[in-house]
Amino acid sequence: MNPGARLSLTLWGSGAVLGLLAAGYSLFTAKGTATSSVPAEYIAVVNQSPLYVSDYLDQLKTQFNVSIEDASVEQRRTVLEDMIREELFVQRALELGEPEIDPDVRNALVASVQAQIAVDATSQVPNDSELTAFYQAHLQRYSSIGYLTVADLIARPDAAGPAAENSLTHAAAALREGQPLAAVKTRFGVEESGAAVGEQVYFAAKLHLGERLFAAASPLMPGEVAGPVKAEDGRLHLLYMLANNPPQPRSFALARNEVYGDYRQELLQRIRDREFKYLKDKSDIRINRAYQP
Amino acid sequence: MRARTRYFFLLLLVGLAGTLGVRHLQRLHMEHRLLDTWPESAALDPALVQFAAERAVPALREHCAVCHGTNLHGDSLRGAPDLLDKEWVFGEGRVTDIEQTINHGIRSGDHRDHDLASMPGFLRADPYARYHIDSLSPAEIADLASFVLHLNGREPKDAAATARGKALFNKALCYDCHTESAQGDPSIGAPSLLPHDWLYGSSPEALVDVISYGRAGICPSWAGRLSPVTVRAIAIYLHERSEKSS
Repeated sequence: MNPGARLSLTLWGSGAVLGLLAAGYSLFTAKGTATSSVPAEYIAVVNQSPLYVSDYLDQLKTQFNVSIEDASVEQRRTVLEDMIREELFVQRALELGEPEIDPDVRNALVASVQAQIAVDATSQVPNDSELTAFYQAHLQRYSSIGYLTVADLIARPDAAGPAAENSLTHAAAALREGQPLAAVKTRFGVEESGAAVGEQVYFAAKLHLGERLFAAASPLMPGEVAGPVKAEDGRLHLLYMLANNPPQPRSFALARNEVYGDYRQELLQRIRDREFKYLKDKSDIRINRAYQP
Repeated sequence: MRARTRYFFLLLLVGLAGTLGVRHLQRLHMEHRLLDTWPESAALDPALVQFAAERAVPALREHCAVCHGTNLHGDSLRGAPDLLDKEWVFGEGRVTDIEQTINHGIRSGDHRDHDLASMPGFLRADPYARYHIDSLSPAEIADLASFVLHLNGREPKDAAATARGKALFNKALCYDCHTESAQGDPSIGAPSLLPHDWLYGSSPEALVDVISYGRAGICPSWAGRLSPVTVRAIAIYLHERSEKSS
């Protein structure tokens, strides 16, 4: 072999050995494949997984309530170490297959995917015509809460049966004639039950009066009388409306924030359902026949 | 002659390519500087502030104007705040505060968003989803609104109602978020009730509706959809404009 060919063979051989060494180093240590410089938007790169500067700044604020300018070296080191530790443990958890075995990890992953869907839904800011259409379609949802003041009258305890009904019937007639409530109470021996005292929002009045009395009271205009009505407790009641503000549709301008929240919630549900369907359709799912529902 | 013309155009092309290349490198250099410089320090560097403004304005127009308005002065119909004044609903207006809000949003679903509290709807049967708060009657809400209008610097129409509203301010736990002095708490996004423009309009009707039915504004999170450079640029630009506002 001439010297030129020998030199050539030696160079080829050296190159091959160096290549094998580099490959081996890369194979057995992640450091071998790491990039030498860290891009400006990352605070660090751990086994090629980036740790973002923005996350680092947030973490500094959350943990020590300081900005990077005000943070001490020790605070900065602590946060950086914490982030690196977290990243390494996450990577190790994936190597160990934690998502396969740990229910907490599985729950966290499900919550994370759902949160990401929420983020995507929020990023689609609806325009006014979409929101107005949603508002029109659910107008009742955006009504104001009604409120009323009603005198719920019953016969005094000494009157029972037909006597009670008689006094309530006469009291109703007197109230319809426009006689003052106080005078009617004295004259016909009726008193307020105390179930719904003063101004009441509709849901509270319904709770205090009961379904039957509320149904009789809510359509009344001020000055109108309903009854005697037999309530759920078996007693006869007379309802005299003093003030009634039934639910009214709130304007789109006032309800907009709520409309947007509900619109987003429905969009979110639709996206989640679609995502689940998509994943289900593309997956190979086999169910044990013995457990087939 | 023909050869000379050919050389001229070749030289022009090389010059143009060179200029574009240099400008691109300059832009890359500025982007790196913007991210490498600590946020609050970057806001003190005129060259970086200038670069941030050039980068931020088109991004704001494209992504933020839809809610905050083309002039970025906010929209009370949407509850979108003025981005150029000195008032900050969340945070204290530092570059890092603004950057955090842009990155993670408000009630956006992002795991680092601002979502510690929202305004309860006191007329509802269950005013607040997170924990129990008693409902208020319409008359109590009217009293509370009277007191809040007084805090906002308006002459009370009914002094007795304002006095009752003051007691309700404590009973209804308003101070828990808005603080006892009603200055608000930017760490949870509770706005000040003292004289300034309100987020959802300044009319008494709007105030009664806010107390009655609650509010929970939403801002998307932009991390991953805007580049870190753009987010930093917007944060510096808004900080700068806010600092300069009267």
